[in-house]
This record gives sequence, C-alpha cells and structure tokens, in this order.
Amino acid sequence: MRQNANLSDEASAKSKRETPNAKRETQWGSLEQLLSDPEFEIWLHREFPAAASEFSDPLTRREFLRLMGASFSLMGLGACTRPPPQKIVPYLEQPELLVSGRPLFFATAMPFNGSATGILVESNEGRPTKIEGNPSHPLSLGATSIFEQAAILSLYDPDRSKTLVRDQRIETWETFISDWLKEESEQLKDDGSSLRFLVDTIVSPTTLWQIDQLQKRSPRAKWHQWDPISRSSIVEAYRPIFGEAVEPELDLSQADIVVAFDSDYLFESPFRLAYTRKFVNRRNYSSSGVVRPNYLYVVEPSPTITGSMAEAHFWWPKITGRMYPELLGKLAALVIFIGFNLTFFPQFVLGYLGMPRRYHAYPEQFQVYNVLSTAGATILGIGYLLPLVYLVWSCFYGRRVGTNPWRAWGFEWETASPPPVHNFDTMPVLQEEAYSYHQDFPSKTPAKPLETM
Amino acid sequence: MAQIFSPGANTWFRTILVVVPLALVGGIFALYRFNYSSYATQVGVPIDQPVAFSHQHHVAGLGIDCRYCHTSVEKSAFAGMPSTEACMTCHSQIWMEAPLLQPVRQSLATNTPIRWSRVHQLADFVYFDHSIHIQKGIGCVSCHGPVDQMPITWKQETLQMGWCTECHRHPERGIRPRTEVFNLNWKPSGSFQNQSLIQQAHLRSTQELTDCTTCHR
Repeated sequence: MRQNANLSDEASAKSKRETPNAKRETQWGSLEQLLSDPEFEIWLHREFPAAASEFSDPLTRREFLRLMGASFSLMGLGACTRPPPQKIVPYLEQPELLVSGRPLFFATAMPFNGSATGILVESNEGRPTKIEGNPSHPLSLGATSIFEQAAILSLYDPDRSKTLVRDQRIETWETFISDWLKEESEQLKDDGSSLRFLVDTIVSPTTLWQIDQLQKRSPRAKWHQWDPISRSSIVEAYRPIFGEAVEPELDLSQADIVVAFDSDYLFESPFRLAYTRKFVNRRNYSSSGVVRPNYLYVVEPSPTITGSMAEAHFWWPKITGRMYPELLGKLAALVIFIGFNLTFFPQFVLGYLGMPRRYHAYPEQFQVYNVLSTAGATILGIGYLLPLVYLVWSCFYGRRVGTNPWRAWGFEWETASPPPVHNFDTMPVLQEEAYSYHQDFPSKTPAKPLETM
Repeated sequence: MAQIFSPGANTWFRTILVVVPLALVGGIFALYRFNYSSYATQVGVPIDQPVAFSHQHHVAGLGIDCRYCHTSVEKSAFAGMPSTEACMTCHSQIWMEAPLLQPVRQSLATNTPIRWSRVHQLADFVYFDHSIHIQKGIGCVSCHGPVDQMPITWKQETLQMGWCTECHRHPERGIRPRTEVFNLNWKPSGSFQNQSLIQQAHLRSTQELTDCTTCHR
C-alpha cells in the first residue's frame, strides 16, 4: 500500500523557507561551488586532477613528457626481475562456513521503485562482487534485471560514506544513538508536532513497523513520501477497482491474450521478473508440456517513432511559444500511419511466407509485396517531411500561445511558453493532485504565486 | 683530399667483428642462466617469516596433517592459511611462554592478523586450483617438495611454465592414489600402476591438460 505525498503541503513549507522573489543572479553547478569551498576552487582549476595544470606551462609540459617517456621505456625492464614479494594475511578468527578462496552467497532483498527483489549476493572474503536473483523469491524466481545487476557498483561508489561522519569527523554509532535519543526526547515533547520525515516508497515490513512504533510515540509528526520516479499514477488507477491504492500481480501464466497499453510490464512493473518468467514459460515446451504462447499486443511500451512525433507536437507550443497548424499535424499523423503499415505489413506477410528480411534476391511471387513495401516507405518519408516543414514554419509565423494551450493538468503548463530561465519566476503552488485524470479540467485561472512574506 | 679512415680503422673493425657477436651470444646465454638462477626463481631460498615456523617440527616431528592448517586445500583454489586462533589451539596450552611465539600472542592480543610472506607465488595470469590437483591424486610433495624436512619453508620447484607443462604432458609421473596425496614419503612403484590411477581419476587427455586455456583463462 502506498500513500501519496501531500504535495501542496510540502510546497507551502518550502516557500516559507525561501523568499520566492529572490532570484539568483549566478548559476551554480554544485553545492561546493555555491559555498565557494577552497578545495573545490583548486579542483576546478585543475579539473583533471594531478597533471592537468602542467600542460598550460610549456616548460613543465616538456619535463612531464620526458619523464613519462622514460617511464614507459623503462616499464619493460620490470618484467626482467622477479615479482615483488607478497604477503598472506589469514584471519585472526576463521569465520564459520567460510572456505578460503571460495565465495559465500547471502540472501537479501533489494528495494526498488516500490517493490523488492530477492537477490543472492556473492561475497569473496567479505567483498561483495556479484548479484544474482534468488530462485526461491517469488519476485525474482532466480532472475535479475539491469538494476539489480548494476546495484553492485553502488557498493563501491566513492561518494558512498564508508563510516559514520558528523561535521566531517568520523563518529561512532554510540555517539549517534545518544545524540539521536537526546534529539528525539526534545522533539517528542509536543507529540512531535515539529517533526517531519521525508521518505521514499517503503516496502520493508521492518521499516513500516518501525514507523508505526515511532508514530505511536509522536502522533503529530508528519511523514512525507516522495519518489523521483513514482508509480503512484498506476497504483491510484486501481483504486476504483479495489477500493484502495494497490498494484495487483497478474497471473500471466493463465492469460491467453495480453494487451498492454503504454505498459512496459516486462521491464517497469514490480513483478517484471516474475512476469518475464511466466511469459516465457508459456512459450517453453519443456516446462509446461504444451506450448500455449499468449498473444501479446502492445501499444507504446517505450518511445516509438509515432510516440516521439506525438510528444514533439505536444511540447512544441511550450518550447517555442507558437502553435503549428493542427490540421496539418493530424494529416501528417494519418500519412505516417498509412505509410508505416504499408511498409511493414507486407514485410510481416513476407516473413510469414518464408522470406527473410534484407535479401536482395527472392522468388518472383514475393515481388508484389516488396513493391508495396517500397511504396509505403515513400509515403512514410513524406509523412516525416511534413512536420519538418510546418514545425519550422511555425517558429516564425505560428500563432502565439499562452501558458496552457492544451488545458493540461501538469505543473509545467503553469509557466510561460517558452519557459523562463529556471522554469518558474515565482514558486508555483499545486492545487490539485497530480493524477486527477478522472476530474474535469478546472476552470480556474492558472495558479497564482504565493504572496511574499 | 683527407683520408676518411684513420690508420687504426682496420684494427677497430676486426675488434668489433669479434666482440659484438660474442657479446650478443654471451648476453643471451647470461639471461638464460639468470632465468634459472636461484636469485630469479627463489628456489631453495628460505623466506623470512614473522614467526619462525618450522614445518619440519610440526609435520615430521609431531605428525600433524597438512589439512589441519591448510584447511581449504581440498575444496578451494587457495589452500588456506591458518588463522591466529588455529595456532593458539595448541599454543594456549603448550609453549605458552616461548619467545619464538611472541608474534602469535601479540596478534591475538592486539587483534591484528599475522602477515606471512608468500613462498609460492604464481603470476596473476595463471589460474591454479589446489583442489583439482588433490582430487586427481597429485601429492603435496610433487610441487612443494619435502616440506617435512624444511625448518624454514622454501620453494622446491621453479613454478615456471616449463615445469608445469612437464607434468601436464606426463601426468603418470606425478599421479598417486587419492589416499597417499598427503603422504610426503610415498614413492610411486611403477608406471603400469600409474596408468590405472589415471583411468581411476578420470584424468583428461594430455591434449586437454596442455591446452592454453587450462591454465590461462
């Protein structure tokens, strides 16, 4: 179960901290730059650390190259001696179950985007090296996706703190706990009314239990939930069906026909690994004994050419501040649709009849399909040329549009078109839920900025 | 016109004619000898250790099995080195005051592991696995020599590629019954028996044993 962040509440809290009209005069790329940290200044000066500033001085540059050249030519000599002596450092106390030189595998779970995947982490003498799926976990079934595979790198991220740090000094857990208990008793005096927590979507039962415990002790504390990329729209969409915001796991092994509308369920869903396994199992002779592949229809699972063209037309007035001829846009969409199907449907038929793609020599009876396909490709080309012409034309002669020509719900349609530097001159206020598609577009005027304090 | 060559040119030329080929041949020969010298291979050179541990005393004298300390030799690529606690299993009871064992006691007291010097060191581009050699019946003594006669451990063999392939080409010279692998005094009795051992161990063909990818993975 998920909770939606109280967005308007957060925005107002934010605006209290910042004076909205204090427009920053300089732009900054990082916090270090903003604070003009002297260490950062040095780093900026020699952006490629160590030898970088050598190159600006011709004399030291020559010296540098000479030394490097000598080192490179002497490198081969190193192979003539015996290897440098090595040390073997055994354990003080041999850990249980560990066989020296063999990895151990630890079962754990990796929370990701509102779900968790059961994984096995390979550990070589305490050093994690590889992540694979846990075959016993229902959301993994022994598989992983690119995110789990890449997660191992985050363990070696140089930005990751290796120890507990406070004010750039290493601290112990004991200090942290005693400091926290002091802070907590301070905060709990008035039932935690000044206490706020910012979390992402939590799926860990332990963390939920801990939150529950903390909430009992500080009933007036507030929890804010926010994810950079959220599935809350999908979860909310199930509310009319189930009465609560949940995401059900579909039993794909029972589905004969799968129709996916803008849903990359084999990649983005929390059940993606289980779905993939069940989807493939239906095509696998050995697992079921009978091959009953499910028919799969997909509408826009990821950016297609049609989708990106539609996207370009959607954002064009926001980007340029001018409108293109909409009738021409619809015509181009029709031409592209016809051209696309005329190009690829004959190819589909050809493949079905046994002709592989991209062969220049083929039997006589395939000729008519190939001609159809060529004609379709020409129409498709015209379909793409049309937007190129009228979109460029609209940049100079198009009708000027206001902030929200589409009467759209999103945040970005509340600022001017084209957007000013930093997107918003004043802090905007969200007055509606982000995904209230079931409601009509409000007749309200665009949100007014908050009065400055 | 002045003379191009000085009066001594002929002598110089004759000298160069003799010295340069001699130096080339001599240099190559010297490098070749150097490669097999005990300086380069470290064969027979006792290596200094933080604790003057004697295999002679522990193996020949007390009869402790190799696997008591090198625990993972049958299961892993790495034979395993004893933890400080493994040493202290006995030495918390005997030789408790021996000055020789001071580094071991200090290791336990200060919670810092003992840093042993590696004696048998292979290049990083070689894949070597102890466990498979043990399972197929290659004795410890075949590569490590009479460890039970070494007061301070040294390297018995060069561990050069030529030495490895020698045995991979003729495994019948090194193979022994699985039960005698840890017996440092066992001697092969005849090549006929060894052929049957090769069959029992399901040893791969010489062709496969000498494939580049067997060791260079």
